[in-house]
Amino acid sequence: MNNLSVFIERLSLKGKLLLVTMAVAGFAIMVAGFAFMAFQWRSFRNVTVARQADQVNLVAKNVTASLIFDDAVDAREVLSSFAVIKSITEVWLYDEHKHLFAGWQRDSQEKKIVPECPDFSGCRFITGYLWTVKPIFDEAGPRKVFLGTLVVRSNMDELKHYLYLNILAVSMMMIITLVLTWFLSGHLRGIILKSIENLSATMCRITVDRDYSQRAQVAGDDELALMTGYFNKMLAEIENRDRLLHENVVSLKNREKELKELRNYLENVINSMPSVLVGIDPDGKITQWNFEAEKLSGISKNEALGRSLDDMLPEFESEMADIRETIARHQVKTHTKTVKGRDAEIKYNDITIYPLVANGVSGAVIRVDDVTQRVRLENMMVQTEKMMSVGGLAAGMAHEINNPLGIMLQAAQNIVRRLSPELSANQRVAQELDVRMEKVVEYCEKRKIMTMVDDIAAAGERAARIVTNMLKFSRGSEARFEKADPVVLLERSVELAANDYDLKKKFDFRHIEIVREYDENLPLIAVMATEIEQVFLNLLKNAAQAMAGPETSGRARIYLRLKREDAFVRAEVQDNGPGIPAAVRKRVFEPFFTTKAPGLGTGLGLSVSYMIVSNNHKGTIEVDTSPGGGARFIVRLPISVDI
Amino acid sequence: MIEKEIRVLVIDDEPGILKNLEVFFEDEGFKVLTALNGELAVEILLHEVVDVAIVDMRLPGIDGNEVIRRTIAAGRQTGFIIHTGSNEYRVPTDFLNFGINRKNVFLKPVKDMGILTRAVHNLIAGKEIDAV
Repeated sequence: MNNLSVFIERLSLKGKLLLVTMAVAGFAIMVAGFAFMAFQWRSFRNVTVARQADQVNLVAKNVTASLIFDDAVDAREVLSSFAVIKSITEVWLYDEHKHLFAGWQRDSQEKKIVPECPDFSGCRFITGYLWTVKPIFDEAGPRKVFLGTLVVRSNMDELKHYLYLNILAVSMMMIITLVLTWFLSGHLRGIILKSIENLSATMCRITVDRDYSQRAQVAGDDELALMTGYFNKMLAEIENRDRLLHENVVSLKNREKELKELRNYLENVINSMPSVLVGIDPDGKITQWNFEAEKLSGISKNEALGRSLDDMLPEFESEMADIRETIARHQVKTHTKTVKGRDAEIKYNDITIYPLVANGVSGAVIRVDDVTQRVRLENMMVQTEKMMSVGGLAAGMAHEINNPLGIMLQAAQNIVRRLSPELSANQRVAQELDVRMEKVVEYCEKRKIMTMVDDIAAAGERAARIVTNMLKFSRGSEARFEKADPVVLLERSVELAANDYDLKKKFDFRHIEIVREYDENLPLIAVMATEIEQVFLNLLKNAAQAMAGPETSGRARIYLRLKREDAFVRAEVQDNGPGIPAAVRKRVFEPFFTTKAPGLGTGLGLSVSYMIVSNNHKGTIEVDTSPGGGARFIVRLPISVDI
Repeated sequence: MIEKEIRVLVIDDEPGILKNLEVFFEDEGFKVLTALNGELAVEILLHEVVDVAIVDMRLPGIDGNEVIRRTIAAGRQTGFIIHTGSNEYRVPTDFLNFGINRKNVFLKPVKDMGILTRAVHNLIAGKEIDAV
């Protein structure tokens, strides 16, 4: 029983369905068959019995006479008429004393022992035979006289045959039915299983492909369709959840990527900072160490991480107290510290300590900036500011001063002309006054009046020149910037210097040896050519003048150098004169500062140069003492980018 | 043949300048008219024959540019020399059509007024003036 249920359980749904259908159909047909057979059997038996009874009655009548007349031969004759009925095997006729009177046996049958006359009458099935016992009466007289008993025995062959036929028919029916059932159930199975198989196939596909967008086909309106519908709903749910999960995973991955990128980005930002950035934890151990820190200390990041700050940067030992205080107080602290650089020059460092308090990270970031350049620039800006104010003043003054200067100069010119004997109007007026013009001129000369008038004119001119120079401070960029070759500019300035009249008077530029050290392939610079030429000319003149003094030993020599320096072209004008004392060097670019004798210089040449270079051209100009002792002016002019 | 007398008008609010230019141009043999302000200058320019006007720019009332503009608008054939103390002066673009350009501008102080004389002659001869 257990095995059976296990077997059934193991069967496929198809098998189970088939088994159930077949079993039910088989059972039903069997029951129906048996019922039918039983019915058939019964009715057939009844028919047989009836038929036999009729025959018996008929024969009984026929043998009545034989019994009455005790004619056994006739009786046997009559009895043999039973041969017609194949199933009847034996017929016995007993007399009223139950002795055998006559008998008939089918030939084929082996002779049987004559049975006792049965006690019953009617039909009975005994030991596989149908017995029909009919008492025979003589009913002719007034009283019924018992004559004897007719016993007919028939075998069941016909019945059996009939039964076999029936069984055969039923069996055939069963087989046909089962076959039909098989086919029908196959069809039914097809109908039912189609949905299930469809469902199962979909499930299989989904399992294999992991594609939850597939759906099982819904056919019909039955429970399976309902189930398929629910399954599809479930799939949709799964798909949705799957998508959400996928999205989450993707966004998580993206976030991870972003995080990584952000970390790299931050790392890059920190490393590309031009400042030294050092992160430390509250114990003073290094947690961050950027490129600039590596550069400053010469210690790599891997070596520095986790070490103590004062071990890595001993110059910060004095800062440790500050750092601890900053961390404790959560306050940013900045101060400037001066340190000695490599060449014993003073460098300025800005040290900023930022406490870190966010997100449970504690410690500090120390930023160190070399602000030497900035401090120098600030000093220069103060200088520029000073000059700009002079420029502003000059612009306002110029107009007011030019008018009186004009009057002075023009009056001087008129005086000279009106004292000239060549002008006829002068002669006429002199005559009217009875004076000779020649005498007037003589008088003026003797009394040095003409010289004084000349002095007035010269002084006026000088003042006018100063005003013109001062105006250059205030001049905006009216001139156009153009691309220029620095070599051409410098050479043209040398030519101008060689032809300069003032210069020729005192020292011949041609006696100065010019040493040119120009780099090849210099880039073009963006300049207002006339202004830069003026700057170079000024520097050349200064150099020539500096070497004209008695201090210059040996041959006067000017070195001109041009080379590229980052985004600038660096021009140097260096002489081998006495050089500039430190005290003077600080002031050479100041307006009206001059070391020349009064009247020789306006004190504006270098300051105008300074304005041209730094303000108009965004370059730099500086002076130092060359290793040979002479003065060296360095001009840096930006390389032309896109003009 | 007697040359036609050259008539110049000097306009300047600075009497010293006015006086010196007047004296100089008289010595050159010109007939010199003077005006201390723009309104007077326009009056003279519109009613007198003036060959060349030497115009200062910064004037009380209407300025030099306006004087020139009104004169041209009135159809006068006067030539103009711009005599200014401001080195930021730019010739207005509408003057360029009337042949007045940077070469007509002379910055104060003009130490040799002979330059102005030459400019006057050039203007009258219809030549381009050679500013210095």
